Amino acid sequence: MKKYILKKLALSVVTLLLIIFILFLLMELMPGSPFNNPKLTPEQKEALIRSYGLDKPVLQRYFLYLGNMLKGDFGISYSLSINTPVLTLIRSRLPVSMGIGVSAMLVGSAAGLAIGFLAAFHQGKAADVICMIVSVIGISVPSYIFAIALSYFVGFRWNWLPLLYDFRSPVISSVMPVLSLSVMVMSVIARFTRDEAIAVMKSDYVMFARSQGISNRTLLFHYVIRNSIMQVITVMTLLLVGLLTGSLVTEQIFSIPGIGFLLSSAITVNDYNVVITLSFLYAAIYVVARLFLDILYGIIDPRVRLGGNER
Amino acid sequence: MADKAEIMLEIKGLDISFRSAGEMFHSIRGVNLVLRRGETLAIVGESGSGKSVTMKAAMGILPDNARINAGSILYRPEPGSEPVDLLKASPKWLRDNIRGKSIAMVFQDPMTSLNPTMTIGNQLIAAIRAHEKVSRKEAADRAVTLLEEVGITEPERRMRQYPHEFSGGMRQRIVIAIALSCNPSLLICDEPTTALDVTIQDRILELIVSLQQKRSLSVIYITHNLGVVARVADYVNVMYAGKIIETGTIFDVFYDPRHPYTWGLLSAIPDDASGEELYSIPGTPPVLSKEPAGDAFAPRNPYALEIDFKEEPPMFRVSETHYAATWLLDERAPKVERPKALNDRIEKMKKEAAEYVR
Ligand SMILES: Nc1ncnc2c1ncn2[C@@H]1O[C@H](COP(=O)(O)OP(=O)(O)OP(=O)(O)O)[C@@H](O)[C@H]1O
Ligand SMILES: [Mg+2]
Repeated sequence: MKKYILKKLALSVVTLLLIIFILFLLMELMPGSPFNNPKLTPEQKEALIRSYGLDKPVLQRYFLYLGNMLKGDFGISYSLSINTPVLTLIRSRLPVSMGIGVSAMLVGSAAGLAIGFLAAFHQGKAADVICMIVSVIGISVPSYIFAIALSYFVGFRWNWLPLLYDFRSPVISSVMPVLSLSVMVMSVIARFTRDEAIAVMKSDYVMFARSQGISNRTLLFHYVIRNSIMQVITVMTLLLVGLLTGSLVTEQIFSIPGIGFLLSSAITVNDYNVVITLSFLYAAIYVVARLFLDILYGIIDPRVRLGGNER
Repeated sequence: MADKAEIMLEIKGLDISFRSAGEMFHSIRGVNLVLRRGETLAIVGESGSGKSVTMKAAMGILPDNARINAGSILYRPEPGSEPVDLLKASPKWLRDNIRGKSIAMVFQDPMTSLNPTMTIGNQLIAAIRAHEKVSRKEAADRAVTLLEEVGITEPERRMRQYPHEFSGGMRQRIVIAIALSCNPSLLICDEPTTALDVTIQDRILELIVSLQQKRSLSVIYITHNLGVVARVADYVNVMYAGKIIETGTIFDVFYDPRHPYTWGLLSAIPDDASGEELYSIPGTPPVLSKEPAGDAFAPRNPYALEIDFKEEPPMFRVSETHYAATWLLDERAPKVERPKALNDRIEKMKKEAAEYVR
């Protein structure tokens, strides 16, 4: 198990290094520069580019950046908020996005698991059909539609909740964004949970356990949930990654000062360090999530943990 | 067989349909079957004839899309007790008193019969504690004994292992240990050796036979393998398209088969001694989404009479133990001889058996 984790860890680090390198190459290919102020003369731009070291070869900049990163320095913003360290920009915004993302995840997962198992246990009956219709709608309608609908009715028409995000009451103003994001989470998880649980319930080992008179409780916890949960956790983690990094559109609809909003602004003005740091952050969250999953697989599935191979 | 044991299990007129893709399939069309205590009974027939469904009905583990239209399954849990209709019993009663406790089942594929995320020790303990209020410790001790009984070495260590750490044969032994964990009186083996290597098949079969003698179990074998039947069974039921079409002792069915379908099955047994080409029954079984006109086997039956296409044959009595559902047994039917090759084969089997006894 230790060797297995170390291997996965090494792989994660290599992945991250590669991702940063590719980001550098991509930024190199992007047209324009961070210095777009029309008042700047070409000479002044040249001088700025030189002073920030952006004229150096890409490989050199890559290693320089890596070195600084290890020291915890992610560079400064060139254009969005001139000369502010990127970390400062992110530090105030990340908790907002994460808070909303994690809440949407919790609400959505709880509802999704409940609906999924409920549908599975009533397969083919009315409850199942209703659950699945709800989940198809939730999957196929993009979450910003729910966001718009919510803000129109609940925020504007009925005036129950603040229309836009308000610093002074973060909880109240997170309700609508969380709800609109959790619909998708709920639907995807409901679908996966149902399909996995049904597959497990049809399996030979559940049939055999039933033929032994094993109680429904034991069947549920030691057979059905245990064997279907791994797939569901995988989906949950990947969804969570998407949510943590903030939703570009939802953050705009509710004017949420999160990192999704920050990224979309940074891309439009070529604020290199902000884009790279945020992309790195996304990648890091993703890689950590994968690592978490790999380790969890190891804990839940003895075939992985013991390094055994199916005969 | 003069002093007959009491009837343990009696299936009468069992009739089951499945709903699948919006269509109804009439898969079990009036099965009658009798098992006496201590006997070994085999159900043979091609794939899809309804062997497993019949037995799953008895255990109350039919899939959700199955519908029982008619019939009864009378079962006596204890010698001398009143028979209970398992089809009328509540799910809870079945779970507490029948499944795993009085009737246990071994399935075809040991690779998929065990929970992959639970140690085999815990699976045995769960099975024991499903019916007996004993501590985990006590259950674990019992589990070790059971594993020893089915021939697993180092049982204490093996208890902590997961199914994927065992070979197919070992897993089937574990499945058998789990099935026997609460001392059932009836063991149903649904193709217990089909998924295993030929060399291991024999050992598993020997294990079942020895356990049966030691624990005085009644056993029902479900199989397509007539070789297995000949070795272990007292009685044979031949099943076709959801019906029993011939029933008798193994001597009745192997030495004096009456139904052309049974003739086909017997001719299809691989005979490793002679290099003869393997016979297979032509055609395929009917799809039971609509009722077959007349005898379901008629379209594949080279000996079919005109009436076979119009009316279903009843069970004709051949002897006290031997019955077959073919119009050939009607007194008005023309005399039809069994194929010569099959008769030769039967003679050979008799000779071999006689030698075996000596
Ligand atoms: N879950 C199901 N849904 C729909 N139809 C089913 C289902 N299970 C069984 N059947 C029907 O019942 C018939 C008998 O199935 P059964 O499993 O009893 O066959 P079998 O004789 O055991 O065959 P095999 O030798 O392949 O195990 C099949 O032909 C099929 O049409
Ligand atoms: Mg079967």
